[in-house]
Amino acid sequence: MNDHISLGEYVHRLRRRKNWQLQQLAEATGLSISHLSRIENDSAIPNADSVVKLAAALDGDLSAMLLQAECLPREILDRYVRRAAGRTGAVRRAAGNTPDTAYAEALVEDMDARLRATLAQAFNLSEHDTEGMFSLLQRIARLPEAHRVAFLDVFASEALGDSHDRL
Amino acid sequence: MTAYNEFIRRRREEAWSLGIAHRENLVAHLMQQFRLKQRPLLKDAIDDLLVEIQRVRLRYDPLPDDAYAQTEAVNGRLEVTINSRIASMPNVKDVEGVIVVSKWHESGHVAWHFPETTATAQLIGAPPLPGFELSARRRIVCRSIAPTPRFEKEREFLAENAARAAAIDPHDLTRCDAYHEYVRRVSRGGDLGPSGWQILADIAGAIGVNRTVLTTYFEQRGWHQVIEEDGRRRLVASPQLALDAFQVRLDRTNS
Repeated sequence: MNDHISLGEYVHRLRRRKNWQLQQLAEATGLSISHLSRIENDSAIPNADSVVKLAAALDGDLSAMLLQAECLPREILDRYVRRAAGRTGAVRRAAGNTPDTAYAEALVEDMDARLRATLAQAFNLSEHDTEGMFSLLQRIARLPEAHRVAFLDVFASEALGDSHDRL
Repeated sequence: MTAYNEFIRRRREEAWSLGIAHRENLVAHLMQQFRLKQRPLLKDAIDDLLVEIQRVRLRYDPLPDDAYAQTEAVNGRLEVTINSRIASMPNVKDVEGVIVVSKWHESGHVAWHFPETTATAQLIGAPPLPGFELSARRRIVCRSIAPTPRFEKEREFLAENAARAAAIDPHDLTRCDAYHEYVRRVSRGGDLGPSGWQILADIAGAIGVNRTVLTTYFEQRGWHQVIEEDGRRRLVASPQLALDAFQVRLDRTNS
């Protein structure tokens, strides 16, 4: 079984070990509850400053956390590509509704803002063009596996390089 | 009762038994791992049961609104995703309750329908129920080839009914004042009136499931009936025998 633990999982475990609610972590780090919730869900990519604050507040391993944060862009993008592709071996608890047309917008809006901006810029799209972004994710999903893996690796590296420039 | 209805009733009871055994196995491991002296309320423990005991990744992400939740294998690890859009789905009144039952539903999939978790199931010593060993193996093989619609229907029937039995824990019920009121009212028989619906809502809220699932489960257990009349739904207590039978089972579970 794969023992890789994401940054979000690690932060959640550390917080649980201290028996803290998100409110307490927010007070200790100065980060918002909603942002912390997204970090724990691996939906947001924290910058290095935020990672340092989290490590200090939770007595975490800073080196490991910075390394985990580096892996996040690729992991998040991979997940959104899978979501856009639809059912891929998943089993579901059906809700009895017909699939909606608002899903594409909801998925794209949920993406980490920095990742979305980088993707939009790379493919000459508007960040607010949710239909275009969703189609892009679906096209990436349809790539042959080796090409998709290579794309994710290269793109994540560029997104990370971009985020480093902003620190 | 027709032969088909009898068949469904038996399959449902098998699924309940599986769900209850699954729950008790997970809770026992949780209490041991965290050295708990008191059994936790299931609605407070379900995340730990999934993450700490079943070792899955639990997420909240947008999914299409034809699904409350899903389970998938990602890079050799199982991920359970709860739809973050449940609150905006039509006809969902109790979001938290739907989420809890969905987690139990996916917990069952993790335990029974993914070959990746065979090792995990063995690790925590999950005992297969008599008669289920062969069918479980067959389901795993079927899923890896290409699930037929019939197989998927059976799989979901099992997971949903097992989830309801798992999520509605007699230990939680006995800690709930509204449940004791329900027992008193049902033992008297007859129409439970509008306040009967409120009692069910209070029970559901206390134990963390949605009222619809609780109402259906109690009805299938034979403790009340929901009768549609003149556009209204009435809650009518079932015969005393059914309630006594439930009380006996509850006592045995608690002992």
